[in-house]
Amino acid sequence: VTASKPPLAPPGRAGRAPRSGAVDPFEASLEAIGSPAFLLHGAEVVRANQRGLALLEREPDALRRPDARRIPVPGVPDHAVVVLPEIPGDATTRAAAAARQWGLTPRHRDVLALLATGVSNGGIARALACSEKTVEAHVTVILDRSNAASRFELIARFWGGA
Amino acid sequence: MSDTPTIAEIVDPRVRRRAAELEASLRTLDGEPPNLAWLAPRLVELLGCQRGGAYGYRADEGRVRIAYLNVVGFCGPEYQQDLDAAFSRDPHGTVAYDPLRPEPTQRNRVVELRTERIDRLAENRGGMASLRRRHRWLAEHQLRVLVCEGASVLAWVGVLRETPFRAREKTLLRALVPALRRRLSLERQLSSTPLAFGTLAAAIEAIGTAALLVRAPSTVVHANAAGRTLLEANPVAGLDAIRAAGPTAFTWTPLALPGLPPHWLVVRVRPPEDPAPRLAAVARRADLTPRQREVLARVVVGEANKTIAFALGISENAVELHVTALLHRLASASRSELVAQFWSGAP
Repeated sequence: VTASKPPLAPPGRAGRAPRSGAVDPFEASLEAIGSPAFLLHGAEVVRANQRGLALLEREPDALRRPDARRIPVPGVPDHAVVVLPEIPGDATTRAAAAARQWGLTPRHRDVLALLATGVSNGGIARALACSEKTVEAHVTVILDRSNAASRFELIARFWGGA
Repeated sequence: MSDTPTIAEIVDPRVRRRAAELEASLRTLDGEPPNLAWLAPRLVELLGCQRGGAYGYRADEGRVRIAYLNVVGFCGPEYQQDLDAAFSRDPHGTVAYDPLRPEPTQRNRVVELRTERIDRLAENRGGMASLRRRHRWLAEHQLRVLVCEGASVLAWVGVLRETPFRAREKTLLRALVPALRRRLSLERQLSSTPLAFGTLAAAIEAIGTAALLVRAPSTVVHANAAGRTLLEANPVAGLDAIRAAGPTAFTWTPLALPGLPPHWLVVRVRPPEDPAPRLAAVARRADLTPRQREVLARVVVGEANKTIAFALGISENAVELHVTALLHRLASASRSELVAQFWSGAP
């Protein structure tokens, strides 16, 4: 008999998941934390939110950081919710969370991560090896989904400033 | 199952009322403290026993272990260790069923067992008998049910006492099985850990802003520390005030909790960061004029030149000149970069 391990990423909720649908309560709570968060059993990651997953991809040892905040699960030994502080200037994990919130595709997410650091459409096109026209189309969708009035408002909102 | 009794059929009105209360508790998430810690004492009391409760199993690299233990009348930690050791040594020598996959006839059925019979069924290969000796639990009657979802055990739920059980107690426990099953399978769904409403509570606590778990129509089931402070500040209007504040102040996420009335996770929207400290730091570092600082304050929240010109009562041309000067002073290649640099660094 083997222990069945729950998948790290919630199934079927990536990309354009309906925003009105009911969400698994634990997933909803982990996502609402905002910064990278995990459910740990001992040292093993049982669940993680989007920012947590993105952070672990970039930095596999992130959970060993000394500034991790631990909230033990009452009544269940060896389990804790662990929250890591946001890394200042980290557009990648923020873009992953924003993509989820706004229902963006992985491609939009990559465009957003560059756009948010102030890269021009031409610069984004070069970085992602596609045409500037394509980038423009992506930016239009992102502005629409994020409900931002301009590219600048989007950047400010992306970083929590508007 | 046509022979499943219902609580309404329990004859004694006092017992019926207490059983109905227990069933109602299993239907809500209000049963604080978390992890169904309230279940064992209430079950034991209802069934007139000295000890009992619930525990669950998990597979750990092919061995059976106790996943959680929620009992009264036993020395908790020590009992869990001993039980765990007995199960991981030889589960089939300990109990007369497969703890991870009992036979269909053993699932969700209330059975009464005497300790001698348990020993015989388990072929007395040491496990339970030595555990009993250690815990001075010699001759007892046991009434238990393996609450199952499909083939897997959600929990062993049962009670123990020195005198035999009567039909009344068996009926009572049988009547509670559907509610136990619903609740325990919900607990499993709430987290990968069974009996883990506590896991949800810990995650809600970790939300840095006020957060509430709300049940339709308007009951606060759980609140984190910031949420409790918020409710205490307005004890009269409470949830109504939160609802009236609208979706820009609080997000209401509908939760998937099959078999329960609608629930929402209500989280206070984080206010946008106050730009003042960053503005002051930038103005000092780049030696900005008061006018440049005013323009910068508007540029960084995404305002267009025309809007800025109107707000400050100057021409759009003048705004353009200020913006150009700002780009130069802050060494930004573009307006986008300026906004990004302003917000993205450590405050």
